[in-house]
Amino acid sequence: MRLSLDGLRKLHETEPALHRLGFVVDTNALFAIATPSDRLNTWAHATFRALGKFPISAYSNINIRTEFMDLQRRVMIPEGLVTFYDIKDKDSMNLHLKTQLRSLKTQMERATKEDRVFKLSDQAIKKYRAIFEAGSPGAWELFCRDFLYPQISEVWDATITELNLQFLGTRAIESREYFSRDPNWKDMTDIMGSFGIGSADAMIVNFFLCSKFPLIVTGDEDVAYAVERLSDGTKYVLVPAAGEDLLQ
Amino acid sequence: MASNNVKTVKDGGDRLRERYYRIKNGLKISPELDEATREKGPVEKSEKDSEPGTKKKIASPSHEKDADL
Repeated sequence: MRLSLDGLRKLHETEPALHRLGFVVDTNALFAIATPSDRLNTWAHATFRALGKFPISAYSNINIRTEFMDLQRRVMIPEGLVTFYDIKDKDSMNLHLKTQLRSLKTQMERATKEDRVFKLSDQAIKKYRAIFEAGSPGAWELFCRDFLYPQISEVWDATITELNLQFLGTRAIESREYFSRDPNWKDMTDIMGSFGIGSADAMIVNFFLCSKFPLIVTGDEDVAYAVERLSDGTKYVLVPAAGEDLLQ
Repeated sequence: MASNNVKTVKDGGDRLRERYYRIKNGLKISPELDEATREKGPVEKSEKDSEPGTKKKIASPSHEKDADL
């Protein structure tokens, strides 16, 4: 069952498991609060502020962490490339690199204007790596050292520390304190096959459905849709309210 | 005077925002990266201009054309 921030207070009063166990935070909600440029940042911040009043614990797992880090990579690299382009002396810049980065900047500006998160695909990242390396072998690693590493190296640790996020590993699943059954591969592939969602989202949905947690906070329409379809109204999905679009 | 006594309580989201901009604003180009991404000098540049894909390709020998078949 979907609910917005307005429904959270009521849920807190009527759902004891929320108070006793806590809730799961999906990748995009974590990404949004850690990334001020994300369009869901205001929503994510307000959500954590509201949930922090109660107090109830927030949880993540290995799939959420992995997806979070890859999403950061796909956003931080183009942001880093454009920052590099902005501060680099254009007169001395490799001509091909300059042309490509100018075009990238235009694409990013268009995405920002349209209120979209600007992400590069794996293929596009490889393209920029090849351009840097063609200019000078080792240049891509230097770019990563200067523009990606400082941002990405501690972003997960900072996020879990600031949000007091708890991590659920194998031991927590086996203890049955938070889980009623083990998340397994077949259930995950069934979810993928039934709804056509990605493997990372399917693993997160399966993890949540196997757990005793009553609530997941997500900005991802795929996760919200699958949980809603599979939980028969027994689980809650906190999503952005109308006007705060979910990640399509 | 009263406003000096008002303290804004920052939460985790505020601190993550501050962290994001602090790191982003501190990003800079190292001398090594600056050097690695420089356009090559005028001599090398003119050599580069004659690399395949430009005029040189038009005048390429027949065996290069065969490779495209």
